[in-house]
This record gives sequence, C-alpha cells and structure tokens, in this order.
Amino acid sequence: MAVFNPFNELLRLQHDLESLLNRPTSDVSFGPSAAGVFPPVNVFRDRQGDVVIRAELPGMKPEDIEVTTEARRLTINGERKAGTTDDTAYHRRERPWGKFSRAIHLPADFDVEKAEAHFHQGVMTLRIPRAQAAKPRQITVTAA
Amino acid sequence: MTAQDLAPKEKQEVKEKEHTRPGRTYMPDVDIREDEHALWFLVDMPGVEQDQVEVEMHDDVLRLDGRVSLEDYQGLTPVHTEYNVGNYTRRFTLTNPQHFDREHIVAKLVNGVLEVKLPKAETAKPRRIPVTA
Repeated sequence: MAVFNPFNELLRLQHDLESLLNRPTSDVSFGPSAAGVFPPVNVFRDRQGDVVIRAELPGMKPEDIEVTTEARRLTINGERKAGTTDDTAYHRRERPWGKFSRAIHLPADFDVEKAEAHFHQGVMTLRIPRAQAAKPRQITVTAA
Repeated sequence: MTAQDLAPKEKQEVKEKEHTRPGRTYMPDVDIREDEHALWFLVDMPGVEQDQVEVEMHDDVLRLDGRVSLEDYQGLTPVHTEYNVGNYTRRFTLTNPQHFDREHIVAKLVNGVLEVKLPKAETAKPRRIPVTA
C-alpha cells in the first residue's frame, strides 16, 4: 500500500507539471493567444474524467473574479487591485496588479453549463464535468 | 491610478541554497511598505494554508516561509500546465533591527497573501517636537 509522503508527493507533482510545462495539448485548446495571458492555468483530469482548471490569484476576493460561460468557451475576468497609491511609502513593490481576461475553449464532451468555481487561499479551481453522453456506459446483454 | 493589464510572469525559483527538504522552492512576490507605526510585508503565497506559514525573526533577518498544500492535487492528472507549484521562501535583512519590536510581530494569511506587521520600537517612531517661543 502506498503511504502518503508529502515530500515525495511534492516532487512527483512538480515533475508531472514540469513535463507538460507550456507544451500544447490536443485535449483542451486555449486559442492562439494562450502565451502571455493572465492568469496562467494548469489543467487536470480527475478520476471521473472531469476537467479541473486551476489558477493562482493571490490577494483577490472571490467576488472580484467573474467566470462566464458561452457555448464551449469559459472566460475568467477580473482586476487585481493595487494597494495604496502612495508609492513613496514602498520599499519594494513586486506584486503585480491590473485587469485580466482569459478565455478557455473546452472540448465538446464537457458540460460547460455545469461548471463550478471555488476559491481557496488565493487559488481558483474550476471543475467542468464531463457530459453525461460522453461517460462510459455499460450495456447489459440480454438473451433474445 | 490608471488601469493596466496584468501580464503573467514566471515564478522565480530559489536556487542559491540547497534545502534540506526536496522539491522546488519559489521566491514569492513581496510588497514592503512603511508607515509611522510599522513595516508591512505583503507576500503572495497562493495555495498555502494558515498552519503551514512560518514567520521568524532571528538577529537581523526576517524569514518568511510557506509550504504549499498538496491535498487539492490528490487524484488529479495534469493535461496542460503553465506554471509549477512549490514552497515559498524569502529572507530580508534589516539594516536597523533595533528599531523594530520583534516581540510584537503580527502575521496573518488572507486569500493566499501573507501579511506581516513588524512594529517599530517606541524609540524609532517619529516624534513631533513642539517649537516654543
């Protein structure tokens, strides 16, 4: 039985993510402008075959993120606000701010209308279930 | 302040030191602001839970560490990736550590951002000197 080891888990996850980093996939299309678009996203499949999209948006509130769907397109919009505008008070200012918009095109066998969004500790997770029609189905064989 | 568009930037991996724990460690983006009461640090640590953050001041070095939570990745297979995940670490050396009240450092994590308040020592706070005739 596999024992959950957080250190090995981190190495494995980092390796898995690294092996796909910025490589185009045939499964999910991000349109021609995927590079240089905020926020960067990671796309996963879960055990049921649903799509899980994750993006890091630290410092945002869930109500400041707008996720809309239209046909097979899912769009993430929002604005990360700048802190105080008094620049003289800053010693360092590295955290980026501004508006963003990102569209993701999903394959036809996903039910975009049933997409769910969660936001926890600065990470947004979108879950898009596989369409019922696309799920494997067992057909009972009956005697004639 | 005018609106601007956010552009993605690649995470900066911490490479100069070898860590005792395996795995990639990243440099979180930090804003440091000063007012008359304190030095404030805002540190982007998405994916880190409250109990996985460590804030420590040792001599003149303020250390900010966050361990990323992997629970949400259970059972997920990546199919397309644009960023990697990892722990976060940052160290800041204070030029005047004696000007700060290290006993009263306050830290909290809000929406993936670590907020640290390093209060100024009473002796270091600005004082208004009344000018008398």
